[in-house]
Amino acid sequence: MIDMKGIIKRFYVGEPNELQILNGIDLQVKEGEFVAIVGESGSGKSTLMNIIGVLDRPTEGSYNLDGVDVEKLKDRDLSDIRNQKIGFVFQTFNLIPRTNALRNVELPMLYAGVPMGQRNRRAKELLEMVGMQERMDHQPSELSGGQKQRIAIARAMANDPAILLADEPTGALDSKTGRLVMDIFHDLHQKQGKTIVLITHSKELAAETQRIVTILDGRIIKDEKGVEEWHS
Amino acid sequence: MAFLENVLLALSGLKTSKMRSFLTMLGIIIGIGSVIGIMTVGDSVTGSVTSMMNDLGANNIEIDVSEIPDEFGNYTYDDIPEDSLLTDDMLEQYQELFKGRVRAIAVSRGIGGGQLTTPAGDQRVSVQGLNAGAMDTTNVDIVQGHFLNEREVKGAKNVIVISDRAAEKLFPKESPLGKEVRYARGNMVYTFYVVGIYHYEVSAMMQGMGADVTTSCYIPISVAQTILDETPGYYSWFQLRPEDGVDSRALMDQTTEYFNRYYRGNSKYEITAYSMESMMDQMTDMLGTIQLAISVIAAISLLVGGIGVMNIMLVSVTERTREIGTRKALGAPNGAIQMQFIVEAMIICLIGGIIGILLGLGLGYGGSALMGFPAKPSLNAVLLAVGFSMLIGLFFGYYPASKAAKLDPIEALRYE
Repeated sequence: MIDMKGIIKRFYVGEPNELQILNGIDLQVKEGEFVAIVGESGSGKSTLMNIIGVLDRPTEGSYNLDGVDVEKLKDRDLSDIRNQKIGFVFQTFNLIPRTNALRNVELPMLYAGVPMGQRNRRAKELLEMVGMQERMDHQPSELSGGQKQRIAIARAMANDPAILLADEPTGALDSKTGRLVMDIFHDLHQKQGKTIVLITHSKELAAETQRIVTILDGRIIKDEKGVEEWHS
Repeated sequence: MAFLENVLLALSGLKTSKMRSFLTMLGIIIGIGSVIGIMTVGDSVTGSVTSMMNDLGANNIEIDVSEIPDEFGNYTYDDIPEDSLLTDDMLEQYQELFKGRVRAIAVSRGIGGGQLTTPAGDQRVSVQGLNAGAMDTTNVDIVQGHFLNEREVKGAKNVIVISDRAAEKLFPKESPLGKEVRYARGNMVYTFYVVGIYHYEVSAMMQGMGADVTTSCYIPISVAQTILDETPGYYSWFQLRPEDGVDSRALMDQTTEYFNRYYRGNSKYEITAYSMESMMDQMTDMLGTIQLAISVIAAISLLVGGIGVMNIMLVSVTERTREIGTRKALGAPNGAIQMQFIVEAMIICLIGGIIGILLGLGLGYGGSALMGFPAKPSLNAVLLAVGFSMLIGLFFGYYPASKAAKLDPIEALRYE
């Protein structure tokens, strides 16, 4: 699913303050895997996530996502890949303000050109899946953090992406709602066979996954097996 | 992304910040409002004046015996001596020579106001002496009897043509034709026989003034000149009506040249000509200038309004940086982001434009009513205003929208 070889990322290339964040990352993730990427802040895990999510391009190295060589693609194609193959879940939820839950979930389908009726049906299904069907008319400002994150997960699933990419999804939540959100991820993994990449600095959360990749100073220093299957 | 979605999104955005949206629109509202207002008033004035002048005979050319000022540019304003006046013979010769180009020649002499009296009542009128040709130059609409004819004018008969309004007052029960009316002027009383009734059309302007109108009545010019103690058959001016399709400007020049031959040795008087048409041209020119001036002011207001829209759109892009980043992460192509902001700017301008049109129509109707003209809103101006306000939105929304579209998604997502 994800096949990265020798990924290097430098910032301010050619300037005196040139900065190398990723120093040759080799990472393969198979379909249906639940992987945690752990590391301290500044270790390069966010940069790695941006590259996995094709928000950013590597300076060197090759990245093959679901059989597509990303390097050769134009910006417009990268938009389509983000739209179709990747579902982002952010630490700060990033719901569109002044736009109700239903329309937030519909948004990726809107950019994909899905017809209105179909969009609406699918969004309602997804909200039901995360237990938010009662709140579909609510604005983000009327919802709690846990509720927002559940809607964000529903939105990430809108176009049935190949990978869910979650960046500290419980980072802004209390432990109880964080638990709820993690359970949804486990559910998506076990019942729907989703490939999930979870970026976190929490050892406990990482321990729930099948595989734990540890990054330090832009290098993978450990790649260990986690639990076979999580039972909450 | 569907256009409709962008429109709905923009509308919901505007709803949440009503005051800001309104203030942003204000420049557009004032600009469009003043254009529509001035267009409406201008068109109604031009329309009314044009139709009024057409009633009076816009094609008519007036030929005057005018005094030549002395070397210092002073006029004496003396009465024109008889030997410098135009005569019946001259006019007849001219008409013979210009046959085919000149339909009618009218001479007139007003003798002022006076009172018409019959046993049934009396009515204030203003009396004008006319010749038979005046029928063609004044657009008189005879409803009963006939207009002054050649025989009556030449023979200086005591006949009169009165308006239907006057007829109602003077002859409420019987047909006025052939009946006697007495005309008192100073301490003299003259008797006339009614030969014709014409329909008096109340003009829009007169109606606005709402007064009890003094209608005109017409008597042979020879009679009028006798009443005034003038020698009949001498005139200081006349009107002519060209045949249809004749170039009136050329005819005006030829006529002036023709009559000026009589004045070759005359150092004090000459022949000049002007037409209603040229007066109307001047008036339309003047109105056009006023409209242009206000349009320029409006254009400046629209420019300032447009810059205001651009400013607020830039603020909006900055405020919504994170939202833009999110949209990009969810797969929005740059074009969709750009479209979203352009549509938003256009919606602001369009709503501003529509409010401006309503305001302008209100001003136009109010202004026209104040001046006593029927308002004539210009559909073209309205359509132009709608199109133009959207164009402003497109133009001034383009830069902020491009800025939004070019944002780096990572930077945008990180924006606090």
